[in-house]
Amino acid sequence: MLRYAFIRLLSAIPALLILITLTFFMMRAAPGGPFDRERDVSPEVRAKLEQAYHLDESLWKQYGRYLTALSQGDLGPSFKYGDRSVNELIAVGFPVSLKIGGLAMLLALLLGGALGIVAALKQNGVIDYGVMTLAMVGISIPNYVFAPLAILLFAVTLGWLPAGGWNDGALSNLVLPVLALAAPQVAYIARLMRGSMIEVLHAPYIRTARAKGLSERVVILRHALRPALLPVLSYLGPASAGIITGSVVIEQIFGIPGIGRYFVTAALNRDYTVVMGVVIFYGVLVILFNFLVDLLYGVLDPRARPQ
Amino acid sequence: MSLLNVRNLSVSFNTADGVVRAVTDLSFTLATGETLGIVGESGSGKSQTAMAILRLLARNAAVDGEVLFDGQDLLRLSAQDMLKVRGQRIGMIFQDPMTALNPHLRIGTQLAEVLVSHRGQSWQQAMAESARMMQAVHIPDATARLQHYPHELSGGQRQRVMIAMALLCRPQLLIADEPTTALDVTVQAQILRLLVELRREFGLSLILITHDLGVMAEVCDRSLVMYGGRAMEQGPCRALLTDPVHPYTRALIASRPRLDMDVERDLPVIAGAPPSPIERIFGCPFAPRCELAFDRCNRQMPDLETSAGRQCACHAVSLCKK
Ligand SMILES: Nc1ncnc2c1ncn2[C@@H]1O[C@H](COP(=O)(O)OP(=O)(O)O)[C@@H](O)[C@H]1O
Ligand SMILES: [Mg+2]
Repeated sequence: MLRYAFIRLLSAIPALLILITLTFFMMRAAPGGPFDRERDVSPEVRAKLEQAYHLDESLWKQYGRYLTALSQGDLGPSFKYGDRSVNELIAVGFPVSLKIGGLAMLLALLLGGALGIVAALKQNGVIDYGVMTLAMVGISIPNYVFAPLAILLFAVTLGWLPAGGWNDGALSNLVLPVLALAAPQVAYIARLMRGSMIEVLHAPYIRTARAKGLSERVVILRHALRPALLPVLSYLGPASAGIITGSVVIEQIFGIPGIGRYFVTAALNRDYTVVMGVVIFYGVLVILFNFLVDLLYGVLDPRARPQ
Repeated sequence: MSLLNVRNLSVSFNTADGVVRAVTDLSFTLATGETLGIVGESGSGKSQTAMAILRLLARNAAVDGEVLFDGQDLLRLSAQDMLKVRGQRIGMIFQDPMTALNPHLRIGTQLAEVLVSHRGQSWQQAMAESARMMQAVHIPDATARLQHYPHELSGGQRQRVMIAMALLCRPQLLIADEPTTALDVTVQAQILRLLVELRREFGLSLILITHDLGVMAEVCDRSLVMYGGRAMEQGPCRALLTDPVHPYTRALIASRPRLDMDVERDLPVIAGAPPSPIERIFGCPFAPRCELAFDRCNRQMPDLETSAGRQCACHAVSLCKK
């Protein structure tokens, strides 16, 4: 088991390296540089700045320098927030992003799972069609459309909730961004859960469970739920990636001081190190999350346990 | 009195392609302690008959008729009362032990839950009793096996587990739907022997569904031959095998491979294919493949003729004229 975990984590290193390399060179290929927009900078000062941040060196040399620092866990200084390192920015922003992302994930799992199960048990009934229609809508509306609409309805028209801001993570400030972030995932998980529950309910071992005279509650909770959850579990990896990318947009729209917001600002300003740092951080996070999901899969499915 | 009395049972399924008639107007009885074999080609409605008795048919099914079990019509029981019949008074084992056990639950859980549900036993008690039942079906290391998952057991072992599971509550009736079909030949014989042994030990009445006449000859007292969802012939097993009356039974027996036969050359197959269950058939379902069929066979289903404990439904042959 430990050996398996170790091999799995080692095999993530090449993927990360590719991610780092691609981001690094794509960032540099984008036109402009970090100090382009500063107006009052004389050519000499600018040259000094570039020298200080080693931007005058060859690209490969910078790449090597970056990797060396990275191997010690140092994501470098931010070009824009002069006095702060990327590590610091992430440390400040991540708790905020984690809060809305984690809540969105939890909501997606619980609500999506519950809706999917109910739809499956009432297959082809009114509830089923209702849930599936809602899910279709949830999947097809992008979050940058959903969020402004939700703001319009709940903040502007009804005045129930604030239109944005963080306010130290107060509940009322969390509701809309978490909803907007979770909506497509709730929808996707509901569909997934419904499909897999319906399939499992047709399995021969469910027929056996019924033939034993078990009540429908026991049949579903003990016999069907666990196998039906497996496809949902596999989707949690992609779901985490979806929530992370979604959070970049959502944090921007709601003015939430999470990593996603730094990322957008940094990308616009060519703040190379911040962009790199966020990409790497989230890359590692997604890989770790997928790894955890795989471990959990082994717990839920005895046949998938590594021998 | 007979333990089970199935009267005019019909099962049909509503599908997108039309109504599938799986079982039509089927009647049979089973006396206490008796073993009834139901034989027939695949698709002849054997499994759906069993599922109808236990009320485990798919949702698109419609059932008609009566299933009197110990004088009580199971088809009219409330869902709640039916739970007490399943697993407790009627046990069932299925064809494929590879898929019939839940791969996600330990063997012990799957056994013990029956006792927990029906008898209200504690899990600990139920586990202990499950271990004893595992011993009764000759699974070595029974207690240790309870901790295993189905995929860690061989096919034969799994079928033994299924049998143990079905017998935990000492049911009066055991329905075994092709219990050996999915197993290796050597294992088949062992499982069959086990069933015979347990039948005596537990005083079981048994319905054994099979498409293997050899299996039937070995185990059953009486047999019911089904075709196209209908009863073609019934009678004591020996008489039926040595002296078949119905053309379908005769064809079935003739098409049995024997050891002294060059299978490639001699094996007589029944010409034609079974009827599509979607078409509404008014005559005998076997008529299109029957050598003795004449025009009336295609128009009208023959009545079951009863004589000296045997029954046969055929226009062309008669039990009495023999
Ligand atoms: N849920 C269902 N919907 C439609 N047709 C079904 C369904 N279940 C069984 N059937 C049909 O019922 C007929 C009898 O099946 P079955 O009793 O399983 O045959 P067998 O004698 O091989 O056990 C078959 O033609 C089968 O296709
Ligand atoms: Mg069958």
